Amino acid sequence: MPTSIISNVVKGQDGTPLVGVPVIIDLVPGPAFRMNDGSEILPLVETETDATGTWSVPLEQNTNIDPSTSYYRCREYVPRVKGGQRVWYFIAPSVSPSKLHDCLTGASVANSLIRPVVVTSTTHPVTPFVGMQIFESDTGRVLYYYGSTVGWQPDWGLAWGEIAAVSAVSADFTTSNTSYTQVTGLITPTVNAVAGRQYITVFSASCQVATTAQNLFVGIYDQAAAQLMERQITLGSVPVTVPVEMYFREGSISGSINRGIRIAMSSGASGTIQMAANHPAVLSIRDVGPRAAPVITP
Amino acid sequence: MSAPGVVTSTTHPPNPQLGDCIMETDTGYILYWGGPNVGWIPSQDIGGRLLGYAEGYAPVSVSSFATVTVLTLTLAPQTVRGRNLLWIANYPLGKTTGSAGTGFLADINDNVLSDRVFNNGLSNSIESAFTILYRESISLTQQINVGKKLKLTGNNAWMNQSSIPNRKYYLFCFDEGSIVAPASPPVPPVGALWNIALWDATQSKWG
Repeated sequence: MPTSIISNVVKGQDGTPLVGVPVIIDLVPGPAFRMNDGSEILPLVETETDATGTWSVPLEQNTNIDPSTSYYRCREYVPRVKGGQRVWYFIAPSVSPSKLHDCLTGASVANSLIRPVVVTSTTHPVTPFVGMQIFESDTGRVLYYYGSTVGWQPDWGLAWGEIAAVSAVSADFTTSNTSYTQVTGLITPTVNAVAGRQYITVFSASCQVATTAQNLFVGIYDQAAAQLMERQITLGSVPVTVPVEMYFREGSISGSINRGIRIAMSSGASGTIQMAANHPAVLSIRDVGPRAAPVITP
Repeated sequence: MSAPGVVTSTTHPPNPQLGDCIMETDTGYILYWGGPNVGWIPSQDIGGRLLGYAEGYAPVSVSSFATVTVLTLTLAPQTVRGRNLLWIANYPLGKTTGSAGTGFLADINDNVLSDRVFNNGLSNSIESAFTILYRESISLTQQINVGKKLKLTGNNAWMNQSSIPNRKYYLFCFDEGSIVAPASPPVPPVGALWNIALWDATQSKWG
């Protein structure tokens, strides 16, 4: 079992080592268990200083203790005339032996420490509980367990940022089709939308219309080929390149989704979505925070 | 410990310590105790959250250089206090020949904050898509609502003239993070805490 030897030299006010001082070390708040085998840790360890004023005990390393905010309290029962009882709060590190001095922590700080369970994205805990926190060492993500429906997610109250995007630079897309046509390269990967979240799809590109007073229609489409949003570009002289930027908000979607850009022209005209390295067309689906409380199913 | 305290928004811990963390199961929020002056707050420097939005698609038009309010979005002071905000308006705008149509953001008192002029000196009506971004910082002592308006002015200009539902116009407000670190009480010193003597080694008895 991973233990570390912790030691200290107890001295009186005049610097003389104190012999035979009782020392009691316990876990706060206690009781606690070993994470590697589930066995219970002794709630109390007693020892005393030797002829050199030194006490030394093996203690379970904190990284193997559940609950992981546990910390040790050491009470050195120094006689009143020699200075009185001393109380120290410390954490047993993975370095052994270690001096007590190098392990000290404040009681209030130790109380508030929250140490996520360190896992990887493929080794999540098999029996999580609501509120459990993990740190994925391969992704750097801190996740919380919101129950079996929502699963492991970041803090529900925050924006989770971009969940899918494409930045198309390969080649311009031109059409004269009067029906909406998928723009090559402007469709996002399919991702999972979480119920209770809200999303904004952002599209930014340059477009061009080849015929004066004719219309270019730009649409954001979903995975079922349904149009979600539309803009019309009508120019007074051609060829003119203008930006098109679209923001589309959704708050009631869940499950597998993607978003794509389609364009259509009025009859007899042609139009272009420009896509090149110096003017990429960008389509991004962004999680912008909660719309409702999560459905927490234990 | 591998979990924050699991509570609800009405059952917060009574005696929290600085930095204590909770999960509210009725809101899903992860909150930290920032001290009595700040209370339970989310992690401070993470932005991008949508605080509010207004949307519509009903046709809006102006003539003779009149001005109309298209959308209004207002947020309570406690929602935005001490935060950086990013306002985004996204809208379609059409214009007949001659002069300009202008979409603009205004504050709640109708003062112009940012505009986009759409000039049409050509021989036919034109239409395009517009976005206005406006950033501001809200003080820690903000006491009144914060709001913005999307407005339209001009001569024969319009938004979604054909009343097509998918040609929505939006006004968003995003939280872009804290303007400063919150005020907090001092953290107790790290190290020893002294107590009275309980064991008298000289006399080999509890004192």
